[in-house]
Amino acid sequence: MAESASQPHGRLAFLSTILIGCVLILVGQLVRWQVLQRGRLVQAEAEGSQETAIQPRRGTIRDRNGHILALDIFEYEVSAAPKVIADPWEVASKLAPILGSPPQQIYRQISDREATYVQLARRIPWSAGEAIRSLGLSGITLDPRPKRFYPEGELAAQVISFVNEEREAYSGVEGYYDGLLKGLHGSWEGASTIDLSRFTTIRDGCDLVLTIDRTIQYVVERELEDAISRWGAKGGTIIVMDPRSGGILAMASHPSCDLNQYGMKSLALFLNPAVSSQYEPGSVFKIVTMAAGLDAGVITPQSTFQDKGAMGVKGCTIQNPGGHPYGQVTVADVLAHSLNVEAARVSTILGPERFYEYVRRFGFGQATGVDLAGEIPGMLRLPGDGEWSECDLATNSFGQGVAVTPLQMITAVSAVANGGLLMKPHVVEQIIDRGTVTPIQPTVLHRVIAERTAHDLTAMLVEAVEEGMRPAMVKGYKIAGKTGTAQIPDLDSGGYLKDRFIASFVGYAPADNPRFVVLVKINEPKDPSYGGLEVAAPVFSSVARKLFIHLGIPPTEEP
Amino acid sequence: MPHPLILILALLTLASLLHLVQATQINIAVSRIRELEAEKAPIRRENAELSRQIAEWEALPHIMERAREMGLGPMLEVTYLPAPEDLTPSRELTAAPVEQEKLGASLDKITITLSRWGREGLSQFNAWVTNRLPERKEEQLMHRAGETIRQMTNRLQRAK
Repeated sequence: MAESASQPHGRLAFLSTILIGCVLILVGQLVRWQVLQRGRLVQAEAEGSQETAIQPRRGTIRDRNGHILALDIFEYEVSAAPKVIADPWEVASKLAPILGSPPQQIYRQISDREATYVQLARRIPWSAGEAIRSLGLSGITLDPRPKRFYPEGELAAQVISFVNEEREAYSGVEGYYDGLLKGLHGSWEGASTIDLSRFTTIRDGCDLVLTIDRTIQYVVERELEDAISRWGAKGGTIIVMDPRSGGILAMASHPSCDLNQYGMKSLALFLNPAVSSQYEPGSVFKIVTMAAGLDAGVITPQSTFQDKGAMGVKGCTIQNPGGHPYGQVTVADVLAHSLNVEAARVSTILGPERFYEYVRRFGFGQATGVDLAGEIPGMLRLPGDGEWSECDLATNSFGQGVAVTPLQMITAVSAVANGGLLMKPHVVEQIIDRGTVTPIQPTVLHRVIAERTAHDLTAMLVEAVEEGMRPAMVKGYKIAGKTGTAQIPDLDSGGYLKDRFIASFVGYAPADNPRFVVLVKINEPKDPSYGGLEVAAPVFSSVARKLFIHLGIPPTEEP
Repeated sequence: MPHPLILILALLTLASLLHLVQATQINIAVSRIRELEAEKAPIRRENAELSRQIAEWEALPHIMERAREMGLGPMLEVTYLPAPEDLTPSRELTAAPVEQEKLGASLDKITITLSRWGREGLSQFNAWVTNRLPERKEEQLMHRAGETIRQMTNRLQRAK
């Protein structure tokens, strides 16, 4: 034996036998699974090829200081397999206190031996689900279901908006950034497949940090609520913007509601009126007219007008509020006393081409491009449009016959506060993708007016506030701003609604180095004898006073 | 030279074994990934629950309620106290670090100018002669700042 093994041929024959044996085993197995038992393999694969979806975490939304405004939590769906449950009564009595249902009812559901699946609860809190899990009951299944949770409830509801149970975003930040927030689903196909192409990795959604400051948002919402209840108004909007970056610090509208209760409220409540509804701005628009006049050089800060209280323009008569003539007035007086006649004089001197060029440059008649779903462009009739007339040139100068969104109005005034540069408004400050932070840089859209013009206009607006809008003032600070009392168009019969108006105020402070711009808009206060000066200007003052404290802005003037 | 048939068989066997080993390893890896995903899922849920709890504790309504319980109220006014001009650091004191930067590391320790050294020496000599410690300039300034704050507080109280 030892002799034969020492021979090369003998060793080769031995090795060949082993190799042939191995190959035969392999080939045999292949034939067995691929030919003889192919049917069984196909069936097994079909049984095990249910796709298991792995839900990604939807990104968290935080305010500028890191406070959570929206996040994903989990709830459980509880179901039972009656065929597997040995003692239905015992299971029912254990589940009853957790599910908050009578044990008899649960017993009836799980004692039906014919049923293969019974849903016991559609959604229960995570803690209740974990309590059931700890019981270790066989035949009871807990399926985790993600849910969007808004810890601040009503705060910034229309800015954030909501995600429903089907994980569909409605509007606001949730809607605009849905693609980034929702992430990518992962999935498994097959029970024991080695085909990696059937495995998709999960990718959690990006987190967002907003420019919204939770404290400012809260202050603004309370002030708005107080003003609406004080004046018996129908609604309103307040926006606070940083003019240097275009970042929105707060954006509140009333009525609003708790984001966690979206199912019980009308969807219309979640549309953001600050970007999705338009109004005639009224005298606030005189800021735009005067900016255009100053920048084009048709008026100077020293210009004076002889105001007669009324003026005819191509078949229509323009009157001051109350029809009073003011005699010789300066540009600051025009703003302080809100003289329609002199505003119309400036726009007619400018002419339609230059006037509307400035109006367009300020961003009216087009969407601002804010990162919120549902923005509308407003309405601006231009020469050449069928409905435009010479009269529009005069009325548009004091904000009549032009429809804007509150966001467009504050963005335009922010351009004046920012030395003439129009910034793109935005609500998202940072996008965080798995730890990588991408800051959203402020975007300068273009220069609207010269820096000198912005400076001169600011000085006039400060003078106007001190002269004619004292309720907007805050002791120790220079405020630049303008009131507006706008009529509401009657969409049914044309013309304007009687005794119904919108009171507004737009202002910024400190005027020499503006840190914030605030727009206050109160819809239809009950008493029509009060306007923007009485209704909106005090709200501005109150908001500004709190902003000075919150932002740590010291007074610039001796009290 | 081995027989060609044996060579082919050997290669076939080797290839089959390699395939088998690789397939097994992939299968083990896939199964491990699934195990880890399964382990991760409850941790993710627990994490979400903890985040929810943190968010609820940090929510404004809760903070305000706690603040009310603690007897706190909203801040309605801030009084900014004007700082006395003397409180602004003297040029001599602030200039020293800038000079250090310019001169480099070798001169790091030279922070007192000759004139100041002389003044301090004289001051100490004076203290030795009069048998009392000299008040340092910073202490004097702090004393004056304290006086100003006291005056402002009194004025505020009178105003109330």
